[in-house]
Amino acid sequence: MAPQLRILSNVIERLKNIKDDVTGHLYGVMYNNTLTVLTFSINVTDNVEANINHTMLQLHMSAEVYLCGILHVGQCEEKLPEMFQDIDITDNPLFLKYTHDNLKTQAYFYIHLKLEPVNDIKIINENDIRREFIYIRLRGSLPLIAQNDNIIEVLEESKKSIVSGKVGIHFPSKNAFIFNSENIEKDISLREILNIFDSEGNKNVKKDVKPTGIEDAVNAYILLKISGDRLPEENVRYAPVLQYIKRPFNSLECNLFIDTLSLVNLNVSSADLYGILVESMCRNIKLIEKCFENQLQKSETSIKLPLPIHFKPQGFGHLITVVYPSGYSDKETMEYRENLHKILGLNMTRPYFRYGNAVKFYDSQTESILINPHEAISTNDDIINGNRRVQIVQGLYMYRHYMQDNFDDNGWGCAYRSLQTIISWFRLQGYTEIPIPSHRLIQKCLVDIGDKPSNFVNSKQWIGSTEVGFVLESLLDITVKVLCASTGEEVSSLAPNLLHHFQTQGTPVMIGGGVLAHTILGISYDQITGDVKFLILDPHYTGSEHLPTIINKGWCGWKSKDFWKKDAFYNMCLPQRPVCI
Amino acid sequence: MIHSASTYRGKVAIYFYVFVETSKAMGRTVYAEERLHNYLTSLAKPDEYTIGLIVGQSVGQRDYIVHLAKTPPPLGKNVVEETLLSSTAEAEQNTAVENHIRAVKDIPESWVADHAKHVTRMLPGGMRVLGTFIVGPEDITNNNSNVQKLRSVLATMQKNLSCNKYLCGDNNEEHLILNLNSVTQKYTCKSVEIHTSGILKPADWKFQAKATKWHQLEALVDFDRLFLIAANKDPETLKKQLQDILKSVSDIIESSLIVIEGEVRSPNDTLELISKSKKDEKNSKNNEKNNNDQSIQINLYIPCEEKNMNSDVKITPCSASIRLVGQLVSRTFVHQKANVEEANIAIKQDIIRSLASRLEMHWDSLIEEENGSPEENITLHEPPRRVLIALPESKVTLSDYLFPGEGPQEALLSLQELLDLEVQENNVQKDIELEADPSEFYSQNKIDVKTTDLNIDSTGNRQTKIYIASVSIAILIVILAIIIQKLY
Repeated sequence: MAPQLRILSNVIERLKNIKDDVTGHLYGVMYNNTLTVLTFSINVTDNVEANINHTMLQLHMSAEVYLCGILHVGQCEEKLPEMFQDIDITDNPLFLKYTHDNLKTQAYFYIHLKLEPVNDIKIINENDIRREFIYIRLRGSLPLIAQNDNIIEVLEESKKSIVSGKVGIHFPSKNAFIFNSENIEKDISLREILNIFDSEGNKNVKKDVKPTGIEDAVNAYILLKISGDRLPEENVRYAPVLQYIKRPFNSLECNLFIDTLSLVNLNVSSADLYGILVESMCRNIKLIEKCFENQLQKSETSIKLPLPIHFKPQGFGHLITVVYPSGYSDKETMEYRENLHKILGLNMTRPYFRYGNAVKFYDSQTESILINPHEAISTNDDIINGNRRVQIVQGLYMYRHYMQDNFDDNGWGCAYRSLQTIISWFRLQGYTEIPIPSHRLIQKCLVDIGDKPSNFVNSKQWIGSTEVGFVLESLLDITVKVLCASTGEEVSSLAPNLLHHFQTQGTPVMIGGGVLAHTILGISYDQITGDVKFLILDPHYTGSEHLPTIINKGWCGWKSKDFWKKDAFYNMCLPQRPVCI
Repeated sequence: MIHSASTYRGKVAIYFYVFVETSKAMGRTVYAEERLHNYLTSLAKPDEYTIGLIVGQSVGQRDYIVHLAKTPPPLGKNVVEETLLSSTAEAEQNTAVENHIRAVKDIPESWVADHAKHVTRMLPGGMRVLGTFIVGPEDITNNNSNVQKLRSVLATMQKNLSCNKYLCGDNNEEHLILNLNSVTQKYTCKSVEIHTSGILKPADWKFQAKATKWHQLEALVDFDRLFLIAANKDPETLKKQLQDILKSVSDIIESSLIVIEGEVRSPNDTLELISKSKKDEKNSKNNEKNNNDQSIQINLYIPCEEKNMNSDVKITPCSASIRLVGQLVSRTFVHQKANVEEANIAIKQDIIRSLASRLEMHWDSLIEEENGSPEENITLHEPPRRVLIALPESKVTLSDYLFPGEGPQEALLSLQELLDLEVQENNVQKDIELEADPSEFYSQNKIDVKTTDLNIDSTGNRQTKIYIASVSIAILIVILAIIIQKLY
């Protein structure tokens, strides 16, 4: 029976950006005879040393996400069946044809040496996936000792021992354990292990609590087995002995950090789950191995520990794991990142895999500053309808407001907070690694550039959009554009400029002037009536990081043009996005 | 409690009655098998004292005794302690009659303490030397100077065991003193806290026909671990290196998670429950009747949550490496009512104690530190391997350790010597751990030879045995002792 086919909507959206005629590969999850395509790669043909190919890329995916088919964008030569040669997870690989002209997607399963067209393609979104699948983030630090650069052999050994079942898994949230499947008598599902019964109900509750920008993954930890099993076929082994070898050599010691993801269906059995998690460890170790190999080739540098990091490029709808040598700067990871951009069909104008882009995982222990609270706003026809052009901030920012960091700036710090929100955006987009500056640091910066006298530091003086622009230019080395409105009414007339800004730059905008400072996150413009709505993030909020309050009380929300005072002037600071990866 | 020196029978009876009553209220209760009563009685001699060790498992205020072991009579003063292990000591016994203990004050403290150390090595985890018994022609605990002496014996024993923490033999809060009056055939038992008050408290010793039931726990611990010897460090003795290895391994075992029959149990679960469910399951699968000697399978896992986020890569020039490799078989017994926590402790103790015993015996047997010639690139150290011997009429097994080349008869000798037990050779389970095949470790292609091992030629395969069995040392010493005795 031919499998059911589902495609993540993000795949279709991404395909629209692929301009050339190219071939590529598809990756997806197969469960219960349903193939869900999550992502694709394109074949990079240029002369750059192909560091990452499609099989290598699979290692960057969560376990269970497999190479499952072939992609043709535009006119490409079909080579059957050779083009399916690397796809070994299924007997019926998928063939997807996408044409630019009519944005049409055609899918075929390769069954019995024939391409059978798929008539019913379901397009689903990320939330649909999240209802059936969860990410498991498995971590552990494994001590590793190598001699004379035999790291690769040692890694191979540990991989072998993991595959042979010498590991256990611990889920701390429910204090559950799973061990090698051979000894599992009662097979229970992941849903039961994690005690997730009413997934629908839970999801809704969670949505109130957890904003986007924070990934939700089930934490799991590795246990290393140091004992054997009394199996009838297993021979008695020899008693412990000590082999003393005298010779000069260099040892290499480190703690290998495994940090790996699996995308698992909630109904998967614990026996299958064990296998999946073992596979996820192997993918991680292979990436680590590759990272060591790359370093060993460049013998002039000292060896750095490879550290896995997870990313979720904007618009992807799934996670990707990348391993960088510990302590490498964004500049040093550039070559690898370029390759990733190319194979994933990403543009070369924005960073996606810098340290700052790394995904943040939900941690129930700490109350952290909210990311992208506006995503929790339910939109209605007033904001989005056929006549309206809507543009909002691209990517992630943090909601900075009064009283945070145990610092009382009530009544004077709003522009500072708006500036902090903007800098958080640059951090989360990977453009900068500088920490969010405190009020004092912002003041010091303005003194240093000669804008303010030295007694400005530690004062409670307001700053405006000009100062915000100065600080952004000097701390982040970016440029800003400034828009001015002499009255509150006039702010609405700048709607086309703001639309253009959010479309091309996508950065949060600071607005200040005669009165209070705010952050503008988006704009909705009715092309017929000329009505304008502004998505406002208000830094004057003094409460706790409680999303429902923030949304329900309008601290983050859509405001009409009356929000702006008629008799006040306004200046807007529009930070410009640097072009780089 | 007043210990009057009264010898009136009537008074003794009353005293005994009071003692039973009190013990019900607070004292320890000790369970021992009837066979041990017979053993104790058999040691009675009209004008001699016999001292020995009480061996078993202690839980709260209850003690389960598995064995009583007479301390072999000490030999001449010139003989060093190692002779205790000697197979020829027995022959010596006859010639050294004058060493029999004629009075309590003559009990050789360090000799008994040394006996306790050797016996502890043979015990499964969770079992210890719980105290001492003494058979002699009087009620020993009625005499103050005797009590003083016994306290001192126990204190020496405790001190000796505590300087060796990996033997896990010294965690007694209280010690037992069991006394059989060889004249009246009456026995009394007391407990004593030697570190605090030192006051003797009555304990209720019960010989019972029905043996204690034990749960048998079995684990196979796989070792394969590399230890490095840095080049810039001053060379250390092999003994020190092995001690470091022991510490490292012991820390790992202590930190490990115990998995019982494939599941992580709550510390308060009883083993009875686990045994029962195992039995039920077995019965449902196939009607096997022989469930009595089933053992509970244990696995050990090391948690590797990232506690230290140190991402350094440490490169060290080394001069040598030691690889610990092989399988240690652990068999532990816990009493019928034991819970998972007690089992966990016992299992870890057994593994650490067994490794410590082997390594100690190994470094004690080394005759010379080899700073050897450069061509000796590979040396295989073979610590003795474990064999198990079941106690009479019990499933509880004790351990002995055999050096390569030694056979089960060696185990029988030490059993007789240290535990006063006559066992048939076929009761020695000698194949639970195998002797390693040295050629496997000397063959060059198995190890990392990326360095230029120019010195290795065909003679590199030459196997240097760097230990000699303690038997041979002992023989030499005994001969020496005899010569000295003859001379003076």
